[in-house]
Amino acid sequence: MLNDPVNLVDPWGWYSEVIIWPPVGWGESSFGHASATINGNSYSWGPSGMGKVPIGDSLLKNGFREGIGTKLNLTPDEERRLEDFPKNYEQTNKYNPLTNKCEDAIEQGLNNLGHDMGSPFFPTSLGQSLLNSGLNNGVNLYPPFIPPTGSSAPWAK
Amino acid sequence: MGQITKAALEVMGRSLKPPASSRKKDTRRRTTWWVILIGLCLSSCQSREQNRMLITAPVTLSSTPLLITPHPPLTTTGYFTSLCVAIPPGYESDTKRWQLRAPDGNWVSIAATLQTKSGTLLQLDRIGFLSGKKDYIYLTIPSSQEDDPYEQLALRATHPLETDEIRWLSTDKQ
Repeated sequence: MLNDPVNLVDPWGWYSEVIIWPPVGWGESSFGHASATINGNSYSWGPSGMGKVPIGDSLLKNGFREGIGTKLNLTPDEERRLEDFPKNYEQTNKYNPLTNKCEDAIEQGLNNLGHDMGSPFFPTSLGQSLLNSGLNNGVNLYPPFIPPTGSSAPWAK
Repeated sequence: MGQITKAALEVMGRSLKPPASSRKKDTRRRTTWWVILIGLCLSSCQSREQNRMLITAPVTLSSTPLLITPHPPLTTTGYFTSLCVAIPPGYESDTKRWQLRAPDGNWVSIAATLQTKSGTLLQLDRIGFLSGKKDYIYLTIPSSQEDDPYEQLALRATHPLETDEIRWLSTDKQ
């Protein structure tokens, strides 16, 4: 890790990643969604609050749509601080669809580490900012494996 | 005097008037905001969210299943459905073990069996946590068939867990 495998070890062997999910349905998700994966757990900020599930379960639940994940180039200390962030964020923030966006928590978490992502309006804009930033450490594609159900808003297509 | 003021205001108005290109940009921006606003209104009208309270009084979950028979039966209207159990004060959620740590040090987990109208049984044990106005431990629910909704659920916990709220949440937003 960072050319110093003796002193800098990622104890879990996981990397952090931001996954951008395409728009689906009619609700707020019809504008897309962003979730963060840190040390094997998925964090997702939405109208019901901060959701946490093991990454495997998150990928299963999102199996009806394609995700694009940007692996984050973070030091172990930054990763630890980013992991602590959602725990505090949920206590001080309430989701309001008019003033909040799902990517707010991720954006502010990265901002706290000194990585300014600007103020992307949509999850896909955050994805673009990440891809063009120094944080980009590679991309993971998560292809859909189950057929989508229900209808989606015209702007979600 | 009045004429001079009027003329001065006209000159000021002209100098304050933005150039045509800027006005075009403003119009485009305004149109974008209108599209977003209309989109939000439409999306809230068409929202497939289902938020049903199943239990709103204190109950104790234990190894003996708590049977709930909702009327009408439960359906999964959104892409993400979960059975949420409010976490009582003093309990801590652990995202390594995916269990609750009780104040007495015991580890508590929940599981459920769902029965569909046609009699199919589904065992649920995939745990997640949700923190907002209230903290919840939840079970992930697979999508149901429209003509085969969930008629009964049996909820249990590995150690006694007193909760004051159990709800069914089905939404498009994770």
